[in-house]
Amino acid sequence: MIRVTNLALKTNKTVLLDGLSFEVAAGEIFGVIGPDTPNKTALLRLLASLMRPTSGEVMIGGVSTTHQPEQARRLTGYLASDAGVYLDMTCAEYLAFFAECYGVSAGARPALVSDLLSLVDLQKRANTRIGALTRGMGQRLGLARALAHDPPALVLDEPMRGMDPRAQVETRELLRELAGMGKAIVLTARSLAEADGLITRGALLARTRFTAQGEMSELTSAGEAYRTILIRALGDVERVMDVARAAPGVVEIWSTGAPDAPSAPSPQPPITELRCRFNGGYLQADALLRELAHHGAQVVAFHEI
Amino acid sequence: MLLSNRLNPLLRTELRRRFRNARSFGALTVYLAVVSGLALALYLGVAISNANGPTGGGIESGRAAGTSLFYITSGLLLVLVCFIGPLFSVGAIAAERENATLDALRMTPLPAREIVLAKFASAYGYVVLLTLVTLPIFALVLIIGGVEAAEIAVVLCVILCAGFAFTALGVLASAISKTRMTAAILTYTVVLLLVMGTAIFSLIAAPGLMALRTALASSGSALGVFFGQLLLILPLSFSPISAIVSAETNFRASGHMLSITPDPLPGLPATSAIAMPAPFALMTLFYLLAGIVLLIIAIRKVKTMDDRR
Repeated sequence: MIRVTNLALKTNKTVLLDGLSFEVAAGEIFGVIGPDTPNKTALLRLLASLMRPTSGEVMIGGVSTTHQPEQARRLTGYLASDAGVYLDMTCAEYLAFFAECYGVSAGARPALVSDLLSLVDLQKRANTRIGALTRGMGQRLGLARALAHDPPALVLDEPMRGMDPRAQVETRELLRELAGMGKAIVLTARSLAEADGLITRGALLARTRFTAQGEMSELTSAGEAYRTILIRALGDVERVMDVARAAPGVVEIWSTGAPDAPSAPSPQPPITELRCRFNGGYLQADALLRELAHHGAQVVAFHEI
Repeated sequence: MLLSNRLNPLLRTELRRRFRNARSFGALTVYLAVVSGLALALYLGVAISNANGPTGGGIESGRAAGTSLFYITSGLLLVLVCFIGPLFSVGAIAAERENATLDALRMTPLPAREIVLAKFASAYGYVVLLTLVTLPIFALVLIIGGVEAAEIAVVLCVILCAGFAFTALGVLASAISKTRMTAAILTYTVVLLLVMGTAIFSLIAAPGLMALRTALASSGSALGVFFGQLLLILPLSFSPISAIVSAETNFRASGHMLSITPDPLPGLPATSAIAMPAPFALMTLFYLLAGIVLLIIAIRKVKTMDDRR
């Protein structure tokens, strides 16, 4: 259903993607896993035919996103990491509007809106203004919008971003259900833990290239040696460093000071930026984060740089 | 086409969102209250002066009040249109991009043309509404006297064309800018240059242009006379202010609205002055064409949008 061949994207100054290839069959969920960088989003925008690649090709259901973007978009449901919602509309109005844009007849729209709201568990919020929803609910509404024209391919940029744990569980279930209905799904995730149990296959995206591709077991064993992780922590920094030093995979940890020195005294404890030289995979990095949380460290940011 | 087989759903949604917004009706109400208050004040002023003054001055002072009300209302409407049209259109595409809704819209089968025209129509619709609600005041001016229907028609024509071009300019700025702020700065700079800049230029450059006209007309050729006069008229044709002022001055002096004939040059035959199209006619034509071109560019920009950031 989705075939990506030797895809590359270069801007004037930067190479964003270089030689990516993968295929996603109907009923599969393919995860693109990597740190929070523009590269991942660029890949999804290419799949959604919202950008044109520098070279290579994306085919959705046999339609080229470069040569026939309008036709390709009809086959694709796209959800950006920011759901893209109109805050002054109600949930039902929002879905009815997009259903109309997709050419759903006026008679069929109320039933479709009701079905979509039920699907993402927002039926009780049909007449709630979107501005009053939580970020997670907004994301679910965006997912419903992406399904409004019943596309065979779904391209979802961090679909569970901002969701509470219960909503995450329900969304994972919904995505598996959609895959079961024969939809080919490509989604992004920041960690293997986030994708574990959800994706059929996936790839680790390190900056511009895939460093590993395959099933979950292949990805977990393909940890890249010596990555640098940035940790911003609140409060007792020595304690955070002690906990990190004792964690498996941590080679070295050092402080680079406060990222933004406050101009006036603040009642909040200061944020300290730490960099950690790390020799391990994504699961070990996840374990480190959990270890820090377990010891009461208040981690503000934690990602690979 | 805004209407293909069905009404553009984006246009319908945009209009609904705009007109259920309290600010839209608030602005209309405040505008009408100010204009109606001015009309009432002028009417009362005339009534009081007639009651206290010598008899027989009623009609003349009524005409003067009508003329004043016409000028004030026209000026106020022009300022509002120059401000409101771009205000509503600068967010057309840039706000969608800022709110991450543009991608969702571009994923739908709505062509770029419908997206841009729907955004334009909903913003321009408000400009038209603003003009329509002023019609009763202009009708009052006609009843009071002092102003001909043709003068009102010219003012409305100039204002609607200016609104058309400035709203289209806002849409284009919105399509090429990443944020609403950038689009607003770009649009209002151009609007200010066109409305005030060209009017001031006309005043400053008038002596030089007059000298040039004399030199060209002295050659004796019809083309020289024509281009000499065109040089005088063109600067007046870029600003709605100078277009309205020149139309009014010309109408009151000669009774002609659509054409303008400058005074013959001293020492030259009467053929040194020929009738030319009035600056307002050139201005409306120029603004309409410019608005259409700006919209076409905006449509192309949205169609080929490929944000490589």
